[in-house]
Amino acid sequence: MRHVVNRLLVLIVGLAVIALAIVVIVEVIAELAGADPVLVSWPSVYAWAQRTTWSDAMALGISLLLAAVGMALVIGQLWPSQVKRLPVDSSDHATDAAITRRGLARDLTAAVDDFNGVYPQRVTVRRSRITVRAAAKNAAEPDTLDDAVTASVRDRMDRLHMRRPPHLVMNISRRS
Amino acid sequence: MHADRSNRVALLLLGLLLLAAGTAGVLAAAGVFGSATPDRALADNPVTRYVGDNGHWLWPVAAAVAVIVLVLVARWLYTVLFSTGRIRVLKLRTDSPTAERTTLAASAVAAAVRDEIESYRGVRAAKVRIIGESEQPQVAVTVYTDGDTDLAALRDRVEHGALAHARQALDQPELPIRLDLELTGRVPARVV
Repeated sequence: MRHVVNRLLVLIVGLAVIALAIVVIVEVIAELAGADPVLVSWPSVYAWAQRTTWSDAMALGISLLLAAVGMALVIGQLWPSQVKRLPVDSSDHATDAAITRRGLARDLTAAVDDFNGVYPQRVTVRRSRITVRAAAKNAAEPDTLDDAVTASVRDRMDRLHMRRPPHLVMNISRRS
Repeated sequence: MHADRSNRVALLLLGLLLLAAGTAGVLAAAGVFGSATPDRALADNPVTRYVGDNGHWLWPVAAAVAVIVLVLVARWLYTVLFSTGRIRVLKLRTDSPTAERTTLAASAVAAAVRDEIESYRGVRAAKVRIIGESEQPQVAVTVYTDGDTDLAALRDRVEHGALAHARQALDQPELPIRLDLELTGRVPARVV
């Protein structure tokens, strides 16, 4: 998701820089040719900068806006992204093998779904933790069923030979 | 993929720049840079004075720099929006010292690898992309499998079968390959 947003931001920033470059080029050529400003009235911009002080509300507002946008960009880029793939062991060091987050979630969901009366509800895959939520209906021996489901899910994970297996958290609720 | 990393770095640098500029403006308004600064005009600073004194040569230079920036940004945008990173032709290594060169259509190699993987039991589909440089390619493979497939066994089969054959065909035993296994089929109630 972030790469899509970033591409959009880069497009906006790029177009803004191109527009600014065109303005500079056009205005310099106009100035050299002795013509009046074409796209931007530089004298009025300069006059505004001469009569506006740093403590003016407008200048302070622009500063705060720049700081806020900058902060948002920095946080947005440094914020850890959601894991997309979890590396698995490979016999070949030149091969970077992995299972996708969605694929792993589906695999674990299928492991839960194999049990009669147990319904997978939500599988959350994080870099270091996997949470599986399920609901058990009319279970005769709830503890035994929980253990069996957990063992099945863990077995699925073990079969994948993940390089850094996330911690598994099982959460099975009861339904009558 | 590479463009995405560069975008992230560029946006991070831009963010730092804007944050620094905005913070400097707020600090100037607060008088941190001197008690007289809040009452000074924005244009009353050494940079503006320097530009005013040297405008006869500075603005033409600024225009020239603007042309260069315009070209670079336009090229960057083209790369970000339209480049897929795929290679069209692979250059094969030869022992011959002559100028002759053997090339191979990357799409043909990708199709061969894809077809072989798709022939494996449990594989619904495969996607193969060859990216990087013509002489130093990288292969990105996504294998879509059924939910009941033994993924470890399938991964071994793909690695020792199709991927090994690709390395052999390109005469690159160390060919970097990114292999993603994706399960298709039943979708959970909610996957987060």
